[in-house]
Amino acid sequence: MMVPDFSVRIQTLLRALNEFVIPAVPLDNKLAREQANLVLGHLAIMADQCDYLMDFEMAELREQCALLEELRQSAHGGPCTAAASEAAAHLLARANAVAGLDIPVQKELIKLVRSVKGATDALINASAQDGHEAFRDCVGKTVVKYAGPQLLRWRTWIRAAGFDPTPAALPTMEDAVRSSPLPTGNSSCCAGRAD
Amino acid sequence: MLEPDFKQQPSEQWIDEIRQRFETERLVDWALTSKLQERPLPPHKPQSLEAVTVRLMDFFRRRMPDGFELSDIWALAGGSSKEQFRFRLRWHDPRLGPQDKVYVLRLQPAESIVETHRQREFEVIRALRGVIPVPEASWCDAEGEEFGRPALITSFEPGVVKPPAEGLGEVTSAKQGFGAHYRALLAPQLIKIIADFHAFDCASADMPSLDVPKVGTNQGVLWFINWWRRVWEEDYLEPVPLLTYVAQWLVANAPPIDRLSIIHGDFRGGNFLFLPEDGKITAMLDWELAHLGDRHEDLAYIMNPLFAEPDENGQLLVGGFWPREHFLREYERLSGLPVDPKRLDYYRVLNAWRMCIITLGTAVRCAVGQKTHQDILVAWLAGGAAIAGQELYELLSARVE
Repeated sequence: MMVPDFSVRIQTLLRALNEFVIPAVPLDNKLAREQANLVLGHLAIMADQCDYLMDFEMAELREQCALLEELRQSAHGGPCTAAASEAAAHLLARANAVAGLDIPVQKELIKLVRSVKGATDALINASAQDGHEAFRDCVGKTVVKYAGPQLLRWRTWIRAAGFDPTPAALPTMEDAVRSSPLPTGNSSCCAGRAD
Repeated sequence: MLEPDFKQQPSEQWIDEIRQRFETERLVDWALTSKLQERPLPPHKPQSLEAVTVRLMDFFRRRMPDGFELSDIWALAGGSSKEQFRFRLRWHDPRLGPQDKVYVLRLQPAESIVETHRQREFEVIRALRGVIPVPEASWCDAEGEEFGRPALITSFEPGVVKPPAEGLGEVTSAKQGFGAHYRALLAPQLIKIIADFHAFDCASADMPSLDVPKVGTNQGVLWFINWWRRVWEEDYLEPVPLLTYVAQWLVANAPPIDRLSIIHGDFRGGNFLFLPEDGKITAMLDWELAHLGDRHEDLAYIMNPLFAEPDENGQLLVGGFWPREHFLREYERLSGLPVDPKRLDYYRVLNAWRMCIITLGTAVRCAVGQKTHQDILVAWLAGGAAIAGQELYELLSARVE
């Protein structure tokens, strides 16, 4: 759950600084005012960038792969050149595989996540209207099953806020964002049951 | 930032549909509908001290034609929901003689982390005056005709919300860190307070703005569920299937209310004032979520892990004050009202669900629209959803297997 996302968070930081903090810094404290204005500046940059982090890196990757490939094709020389060219070839095999992925831009990905959740909501609501009994029984079990790992990820995501009563029990951020249950075709509690 | 969704500019048709889908109390409907109708307006600008002073002067000029003196006006920190200003008022009362009192003006921003009606808060505080420590509710501008925004004026009570050693004493936080000394002083008073206002005969009180559900039915519970389903529908940016399912579960399992009590709705540390020198509680605050309902709602609320704090031996205490069983048994003894474990569990689910809605839905929506006087704080509070969600998950896991 990315809400509030970085852009919303940064918006609130800018507002708090502009409306409350900076006005309270004495005019004659030049260093503090300068630092505060630099904070504003950094935040403005981050606000511009935060929705495009992945997209930026992908653009860099594709461009740099193309650059390296173009150089490699022209690379002729002695052993040093040959060795560097060969190392580049190995790396490009891996990098091009990633660069070639059809990854949606970050905003599209977020919209897609929200659409999937919205469709899940719609199915849950529909189940209450005219879902068969077996399906209605299934809904709670399935939703709760998937909520477990999702909540662990949310708690880790927000750990720095200090709300969690057992932060030591949380995984690392890397583990939290990498591990998630993969959907499997026959894991439904209703699979195979006649309605 | 992602483009604003349609909820930032809600249509009249959508507002009408939502109102019809989720039947709730009259003035809850009023507050939520006003919020939606005003949502397209520009970001909230906190009122300056000068502007507040002018409003206060005009307000008292209309009521005290023989003259008055207004002084010592300043903004109070603390609280995530309303802008608050303290002021001193001196005047001559024809019956009581010279008066010199300090008051708090609570002013509603464009949107709040909880959207409520000032008249309800006003009437509940008045009803409980003399029953438990509460401020004196003096004036109410329920629709904002005089203050530009809905407003409430209560007496300013002395005290702090946190022990002085912990900081300024006025910052909103789920955890208060009272420590053994203050815990010993505050815990017995707090449990008496909740016991007393739950046992209070609300039928005898003058609270016409609160709708009265039928005792012995779950009407009041369904109103309450609808209130928060509506809030979620109006405010969420991203769906949360768990919350959608839980709403259905809550409706299907809503228990009847055996006895109506005044429910505080946010009973916890941080919502009462006490004197640091002797720990005496001077006022229970923040009655804006008050409604008539089942006492188990307040009991379950303070049992949420967000408010739990360990004692010196590491034992988690309910609200940071009591071991769980002691809390429940002492409450029963003081109130004369039994605690039903099944209903307690039900309201733990309901409260955790409601807290998710407030933090994931309303708090974020307020920050997106720049609608409060402290967006940075409400955005911060959104993090509490992970903990409330975990509580919800653990409670439901035991129930859906």
